[in-house]
Amino acid sequence: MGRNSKFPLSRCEVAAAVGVVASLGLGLAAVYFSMPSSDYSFLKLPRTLEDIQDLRDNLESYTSDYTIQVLVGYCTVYIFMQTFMIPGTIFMSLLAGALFGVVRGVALVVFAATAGASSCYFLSYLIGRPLVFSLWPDKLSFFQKQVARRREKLLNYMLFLRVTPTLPNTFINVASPIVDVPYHIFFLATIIGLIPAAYVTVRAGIAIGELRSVADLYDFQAIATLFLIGIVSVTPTLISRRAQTAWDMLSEEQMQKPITTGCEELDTILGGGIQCKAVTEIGGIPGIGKTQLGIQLAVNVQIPVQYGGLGGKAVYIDTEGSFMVERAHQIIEGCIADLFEKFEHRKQSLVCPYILQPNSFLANIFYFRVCSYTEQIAAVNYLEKFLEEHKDVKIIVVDSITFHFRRDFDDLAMRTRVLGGMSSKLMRFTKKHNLAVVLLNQVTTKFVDGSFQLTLALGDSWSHACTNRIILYWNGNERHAYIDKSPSLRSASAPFQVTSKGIRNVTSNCKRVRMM
Amino acid sequence: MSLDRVDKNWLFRGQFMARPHIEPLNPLLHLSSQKLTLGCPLLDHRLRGGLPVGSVTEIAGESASGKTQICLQILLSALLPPSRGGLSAASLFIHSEFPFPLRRLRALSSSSSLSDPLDHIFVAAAHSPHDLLSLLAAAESLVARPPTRLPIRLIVIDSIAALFRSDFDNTPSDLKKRSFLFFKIAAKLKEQARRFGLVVVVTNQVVDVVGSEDGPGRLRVGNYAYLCSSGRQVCPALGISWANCVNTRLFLSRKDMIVENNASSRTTRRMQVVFAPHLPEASCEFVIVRDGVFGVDL
Repeated sequence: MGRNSKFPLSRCEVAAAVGVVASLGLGLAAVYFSMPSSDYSFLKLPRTLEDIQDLRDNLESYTSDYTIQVLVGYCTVYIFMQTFMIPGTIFMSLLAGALFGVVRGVALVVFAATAGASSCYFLSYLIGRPLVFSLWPDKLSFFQKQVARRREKLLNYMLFLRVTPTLPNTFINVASPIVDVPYHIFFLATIIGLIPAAYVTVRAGIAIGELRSVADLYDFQAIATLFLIGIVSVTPTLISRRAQTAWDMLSEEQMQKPITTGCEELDTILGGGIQCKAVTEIGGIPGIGKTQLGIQLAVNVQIPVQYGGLGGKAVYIDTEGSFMVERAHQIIEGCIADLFEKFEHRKQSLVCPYILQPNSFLANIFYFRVCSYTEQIAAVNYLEKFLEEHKDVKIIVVDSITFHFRRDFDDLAMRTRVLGGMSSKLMRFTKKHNLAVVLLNQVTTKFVDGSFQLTLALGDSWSHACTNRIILYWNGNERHAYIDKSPSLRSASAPFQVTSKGIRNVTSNCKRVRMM
Repeated sequence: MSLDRVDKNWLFRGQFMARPHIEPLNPLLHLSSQKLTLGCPLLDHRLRGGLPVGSVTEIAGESASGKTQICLQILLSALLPPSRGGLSAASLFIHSEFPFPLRRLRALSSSSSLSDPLDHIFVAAAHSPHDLLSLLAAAESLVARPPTRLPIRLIVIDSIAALFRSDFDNTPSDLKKRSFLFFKIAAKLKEQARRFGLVVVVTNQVVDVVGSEDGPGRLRVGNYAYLCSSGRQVCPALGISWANCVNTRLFLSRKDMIVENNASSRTTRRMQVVFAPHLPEASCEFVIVRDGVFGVDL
């Protein structure tokens, strides 16, 4: 795909990376040139306790005279080691304790460690993300979903991971940007979470003479204390005022987001798009574009969260055989192309590339074909169980809801009751599972007051069942949508167009939304 | 299926056991995209391959506009193998207009390269909507267990309008009865199209558009504000109810043009896509010659 061949970094990012490396180099050079001439054979990266003791003995005299140089040199080396994942930073922490004492040592270590972790974070963001995207896309999106689910309490989880030795810090630095942990949470968790471990290490550094091996550092008491602190930080996630699953949390976050129709003017009069937690009825004459709109919504509900959509799945109940896979394919390709165009300034792909493939989108539309009213009722009944198993379904489209009920029924009262039962079931789904239900309906002519009027089919037995009603109609040569019934939206109409890419704005002359 | 014969109780208890078949879309890709060629590459190109399997296509036009010619042509193209755009299948032709054009069918089949095509075309006559319904019920067993070695995968009804001409008056109650039958027939056709992977083609007549600006005839259905044929504004018969019953509607028009000082007249024929879920607005000029119906490039 064209996306991957573009160089993933923008100019600012390259400039920033170069700037960081340059300043590190500059710092080291400054230290080197400003130090008095002497024997510097002891200056090497500390690998063992003996090295530390060596360094400590030799640097102690310098520290008071050349504090700035030692500090800058120390920070630069520490950040360098963290950024490029060189092991041995624990020795640097011990050294800090040996040279600067407890308070200044802890402050220095926390500052240097946070700066080093941050630069490692950005390096991993730039290089690691695209790499892991291409190597392990499935595992990656699984972990990304897990992280997204726990978004609200992410800080607590991160604190736990930092405080306790559950995961090595290097791994946390590298993995966080890859699974979409935002930087501010990473920063806070690092700067707070490293304090306990830094304290333990720095204190040990003061008594470096008595340490025989690194194992002495972490005795049972120290580790137990760290775990206790960790558990305290993670407890808020376990207790809540009311039982909420992770899905509830995610759904609430997405609840406010409506499903875009693809046409901005239409979205505007709908208050952003088709609302979740509501039943919307869309009616119109044949050929006006009901099925097109239905397929467009089933596609747009799948737009990933990172691109401003809901990242959900769709159920499409086809009662008339109007759903054509080739047309759905066309609409999906149009949607993906528009997403790339809209987010072109983000050179890197925001999600795994395999998510934005037509086959993935097609696989996320659960298609039911029903050929009679009994099958239609059975399908709606079956959805109850189906939606429990597939919690990421965010829209149900029924195309069309009344077709099988327009034949003759011996018992009309029965028909009304069946329709009412079906509509109340669908309404229950919207509330319980936080999804949108879109019912496409046909129109019929009714002879009223000596003239023919267009009304929605089965209007009398059905009109109370939906929350919003939209009528699609021709206005001259243009397709328009009109809000016929809504508890919260003003009656207004907007033009739209059916193109090869799907439902889009009318491009020619600027038609303003007409309020009625 | 009348509601009386069904246990009304389980409808409410939701204990209906038959689980609808959930089909993930990818395996459906090859089935739903199959098309039946019309016999001419240019016409096929306008229709993105031809007539789709599993849906009902209506061909509307005035008399002698070419509807029956196209129907006969697809009866033969259904026998072609899928590699050539056919279905390798037999067909069922239900006609309500008389007589059945046997001679023309014979002429077309002799010019085609198939062997014994007439053996694989089943013909039945229908005189009323109830005739049609009982024919469709009988056809189900015919389609499920074909008497020849080829399965039946094409049903042509020529024409649907003629079935409803005599039995119904223009009163609201009769019109309502009529539209009930539309939905019953359409549901049956679509069910069979879906279950057996059939192509269903229905022809329809047109009526003149008269009346006030707000009358039902003036209603715009599909891609064109009005349809013209032979210099008159027309619209397909059977109203909006029937329009709701078909998936795709094609319109055939003809225009007689006098050429060269009344010496001769030339007929231009045009096929237009009025509405279709998978087609944009498209039209194609065509001619009817001895070998069949073919599109022409302007």
